[in-house]
Amino acid sequence: MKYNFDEVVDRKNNYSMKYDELKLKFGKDDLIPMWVADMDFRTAEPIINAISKRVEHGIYGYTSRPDSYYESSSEWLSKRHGWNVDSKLMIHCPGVVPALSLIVREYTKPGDKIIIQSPVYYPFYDVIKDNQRELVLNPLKFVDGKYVMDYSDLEDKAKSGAKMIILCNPHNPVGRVWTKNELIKLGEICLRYGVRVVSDEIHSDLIYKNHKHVPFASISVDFLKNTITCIAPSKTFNLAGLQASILIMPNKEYRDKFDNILEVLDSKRNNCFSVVATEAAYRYGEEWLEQLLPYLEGNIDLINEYCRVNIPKIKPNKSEGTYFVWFDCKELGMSDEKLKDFMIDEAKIAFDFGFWFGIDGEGFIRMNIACPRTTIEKALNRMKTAVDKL
Amino acid sequence: MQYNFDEINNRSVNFSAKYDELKLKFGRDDLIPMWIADMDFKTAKPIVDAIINRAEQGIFGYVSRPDSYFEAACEWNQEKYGWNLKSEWMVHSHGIIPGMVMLIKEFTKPKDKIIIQSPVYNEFFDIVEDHDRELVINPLKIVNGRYEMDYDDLEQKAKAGAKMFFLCNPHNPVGRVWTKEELIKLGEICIRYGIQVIADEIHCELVYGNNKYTPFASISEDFFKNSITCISPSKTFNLAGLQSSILVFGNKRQREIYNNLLQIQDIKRNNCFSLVATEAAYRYGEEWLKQLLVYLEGNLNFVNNYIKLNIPKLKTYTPEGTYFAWIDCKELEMNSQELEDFMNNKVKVAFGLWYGKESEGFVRMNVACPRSVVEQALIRLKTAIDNL
Repeated sequence: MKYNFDEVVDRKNNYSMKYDELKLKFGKDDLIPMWVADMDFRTAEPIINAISKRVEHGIYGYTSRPDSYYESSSEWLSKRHGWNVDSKLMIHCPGVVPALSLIVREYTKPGDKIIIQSPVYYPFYDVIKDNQRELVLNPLKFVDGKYVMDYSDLEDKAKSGAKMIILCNPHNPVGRVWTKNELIKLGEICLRYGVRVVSDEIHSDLIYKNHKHVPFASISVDFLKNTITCIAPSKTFNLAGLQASILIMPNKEYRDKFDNILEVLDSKRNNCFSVVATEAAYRYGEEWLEQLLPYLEGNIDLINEYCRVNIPKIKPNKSEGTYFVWFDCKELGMSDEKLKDFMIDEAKIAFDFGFWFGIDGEGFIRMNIACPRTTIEKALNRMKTAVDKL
Repeated sequence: MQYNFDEINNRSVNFSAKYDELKLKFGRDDLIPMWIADMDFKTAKPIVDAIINRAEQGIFGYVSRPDSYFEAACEWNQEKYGWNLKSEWMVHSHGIIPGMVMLIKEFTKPKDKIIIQSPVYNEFFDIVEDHDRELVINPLKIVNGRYEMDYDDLEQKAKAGAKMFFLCNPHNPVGRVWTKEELIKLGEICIRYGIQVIADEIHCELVYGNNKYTPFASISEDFFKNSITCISPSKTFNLAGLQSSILVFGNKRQREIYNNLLQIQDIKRNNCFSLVATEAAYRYGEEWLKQLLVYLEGNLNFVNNYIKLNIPKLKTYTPEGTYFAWIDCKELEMNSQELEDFMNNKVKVAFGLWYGKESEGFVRMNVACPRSVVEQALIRLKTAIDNL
């Protein structure tokens, strides 16, 4: 079927964090919400149908996960990314961030060094610091208008005894889809110094023309063995509210340990809707996704063209993946506090602010572009008007 | 509206643990499932409607909990039990056991003693022992055919330095609805010896006849401050698959610590369906519940009468609450393994069998199913015993 992403869906009665928590987070609620990572689009019809069918049973007791659940995920990885994963390596978790928190606690010790590549998704900082591990930054470099990894810095930090790196592949917020060569360089350094890789690949299905997602663990058996991969249908299909993700843990000892932790926490089971929605997404969601991606890319192109012509002081990146645009606002010459106030009070848009992603994000904003094009246009016009008044 | 609890619902397309995991748990799948605590009944129509309405929106992003969510729970408790709760005392958890695990880890230390009253919900044993805390058992006594608390034993154990007490109110599996007097005696001992009470009150709406549920924390300000109460619509309205419950903290500092933990682990939000279902249950579920209770009590009476008349070797304890019949099989003179094999392979009913040493010789029958199924199970039980 043909999906209409231009449709403006009213999320007023949706109990949506993105809308209902504007006031709490930004101090006012008359803002265009372009912050937290969910989409203003209805998800694929087969997913809604699967949920509706499950609702009609009327009985919502303890849920058993059929084998077909992980199999559908494994088939998806094979079809979309050419990665053949044994579904027996998969473990359910209620979310990627809860999983990262558990992984950090169980596979490192307090005081252990954990590397992240800033600017990066801010919960990475929290899961390290809140669990009393030492945060080690390997900042991305900006070379010829593009973010790249700094391998010599990484090697220094790996050498100094780090136990783990949390890789963001594709990278949130900078929108890089790491190439195979980039991942090989990173992975070899990690192997050389015994740094375990946790690869957050939640954005891996949101990849634009001429780019290809490479699952880090698919590169070699050595990489596979050294990696825990996190995937979920939640970003791709807009299912964050269903609370389900999948970890791929090839190391049996680790997997058994994790399984036991979930058992002890009584958190092994899917809820009764995520079990059907996830499988429907992976089995029947592709048609929708194939229409979503050009729409999102159209939004990104529009933003780039609009800013080039109308707001030259603000420089959006051309994202290779994710539904974020990362804007360099440094030419506005504002401090982060001022930039934040300006976007909230003058432009009246709620962004994820660059400094949330670490010191390397200062002077930037992250725009969530997963909304109808009219909303993007409205936001861009507001930004232009506000900047013109400066 | 009038609900029909006699209706047989096909749960084979339901991804139901109760059905689909029979083989895994009992080694065969031709058993009548009367084990895990969910019901074979459709839930209240207003709940189904609320979920349908949410599903039709088609957008399932990050969820924000409106104030009306906890307020609905407060109003429910106020109207039904006269318990004046405040919503700011409440914290979301994706389940009571996950919640209790976090309480153990945060508010006790390894080797600390935690008291439970056996026979009791099997998870209580596991979560204490899995976390390297010392399990202290204060067994229930049977006095004149009724389970009671043993306060002398409790006092001795409390005196020996326990940190936490898990209360099961009403009590699973023995079906006691503790009276206010019983809870006062218990609560005073706990206060005297500085033991925090974790009150699992998940079965609190499932109470029969003249029995009356008393929220432990509602008894006094001191009891409230010394307790954390766990409630949920999941048993009452058959919503275990929605994974949501509420913890009520009597102590502000503990509540803040707990909230912070949820924040750190990124598990403070409801999923998009538990949110609407919970509120609909507490606001509009009462009509269904009233009809359910009559039906369940009918099932429990049916079990009692049938066993009395037809299987005199078995003895039942009339439950005051919960949807479990607690059946004494000691006259069959089987050890635990033999009894389990007999029930699985001869009777072919999957019962609950794991509630500690004091439960040996007993089975727990989940009667939350159509009466025809209860009848069929009882006939199987009688036939197998007659053939012994």
